[in-house]
Amino acid sequence: MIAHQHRVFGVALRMLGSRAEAEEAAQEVFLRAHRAIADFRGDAKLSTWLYAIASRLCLNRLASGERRLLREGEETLARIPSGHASPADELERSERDAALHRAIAELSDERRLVVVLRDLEGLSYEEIAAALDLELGTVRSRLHRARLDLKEKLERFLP
Amino acid sequence: MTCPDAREQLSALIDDALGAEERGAVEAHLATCAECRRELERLRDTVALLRAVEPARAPAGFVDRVLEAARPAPWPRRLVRALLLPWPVKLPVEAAAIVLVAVGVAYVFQATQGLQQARHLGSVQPMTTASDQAAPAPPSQDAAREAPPTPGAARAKQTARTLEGARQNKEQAPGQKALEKSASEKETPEKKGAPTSQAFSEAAQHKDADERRAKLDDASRDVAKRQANAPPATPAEPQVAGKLEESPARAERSQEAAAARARSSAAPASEPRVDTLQAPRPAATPPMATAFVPPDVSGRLAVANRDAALQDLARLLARLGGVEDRRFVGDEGPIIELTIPREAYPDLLRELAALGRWQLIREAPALPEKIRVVLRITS
Repeated sequence: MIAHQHRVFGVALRMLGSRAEAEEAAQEVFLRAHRAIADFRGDAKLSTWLYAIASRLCLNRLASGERRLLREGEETLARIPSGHASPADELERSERDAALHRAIAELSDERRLVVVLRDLEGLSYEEIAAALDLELGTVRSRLHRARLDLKEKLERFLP
Repeated sequence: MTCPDAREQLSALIDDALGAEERGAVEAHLATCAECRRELERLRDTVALLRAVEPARAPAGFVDRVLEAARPAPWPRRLVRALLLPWPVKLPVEAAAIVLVAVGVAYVFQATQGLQQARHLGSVQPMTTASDQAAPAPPSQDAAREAPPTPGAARAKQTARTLEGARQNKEQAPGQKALEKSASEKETPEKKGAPTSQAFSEAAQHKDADERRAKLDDASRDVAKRQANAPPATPAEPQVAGKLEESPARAERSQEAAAARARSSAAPASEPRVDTLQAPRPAATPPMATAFVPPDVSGRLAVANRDAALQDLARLLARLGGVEDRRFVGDEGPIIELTIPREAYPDLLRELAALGRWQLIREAPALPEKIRVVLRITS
């Protein structure tokens, strides 16, 4: 659990947008995993199984409708300023991060989830397909659409 | 491969997720299409931006909180939760249940106590009458068993106890009745279970009452018979009665007392009893069990000089082989209880007639070997 806590929390944070709600959801993920540990099949990676639980839980929460929290990004990602950067670089980096977080938050839930799992959490296409119970082609397609959306919104920050 | 087809594969190309054939085709197109190469670069930069995002870290203490939440609560807390939560629902229900049980227990207890009292009442209350009237105490089974043959202290103690019990009964009986009444009026759920005990209690009381009535009838007949045969010879308890009276009112009261005694007694009224006058006993300490057995013979001797008559009587007894058992002081004069052999009885009657005006009041149809005689000496 210690090994997986940050990953699960990260997915929840990026999907739900607030640290408090993310912690609550992450805790629920581990409690569900604890109760359903008998269902865990050894042929899958534990991390993939946990991602699957976290993904379903987040999508369900988002689909429940009563919440559309701020996704302005000011707390969605931990921003650790580089100690060696100049103030100008720092400002640019800050702006870029804000734009990036906003762009991610504005993605549809399905696309955001795929891009988070792939580009932020580093899962393979196969692992994402397994966790979300999707066809490989669907994963590939959703990921590409998500990246194209992000590319458009982050155009001015690209070199 | 067209540009749209090639651009669809660019993400997979970046992720190295294409098969060799697909990859070859896309790379062949890119080699010829500067626009698609530029698109690939922009996409790569975007992915690089994404991957540069600092990974999120769970807040400090997250694992502990999860473990705390996953660990089952200590059993006392779980028990309390199970019993009380949600308390707005469970608390009133549980309180109502406790009250219900308490009421039920109280009701059953009262019903049982009533039952005991009903029995107790049957044996003790008539004693009150007897004691209140300072009449000769009746021989009841209990009294006969408990009372030693002679000691007066035990007798006094028992009388006190009897009075005490009677007082308690008097105090408790109305309360009990009221309680039973209120219980019967209440339409409570536990009433369904209660009628058994209540009915039992009532049945027991009725039964007791019936028994008492039957005994009373027997005793009344018995006593009436005895009184008719020997009205003046009612034995008395000196320390209670002090003296014997021969007035009709007194006889009537004695009869009532006897009836009450018979009611209280669990033994049939016709059962033989310990006879006060059969065995010589100190006059001051007749036990409770030695009451109301009429003598074989009783009579009244009217004389001019009582003292002289008593002396003559003493000499007469000595001559005839009789024994004076006890002597009381009555209203009209001394009362002598004596025992005399049957063979000397005719002589006794003759001599008594010589002493004064002799009036035979009672004589048993069959006289025993040792005849008990009660003489009332008047002037």
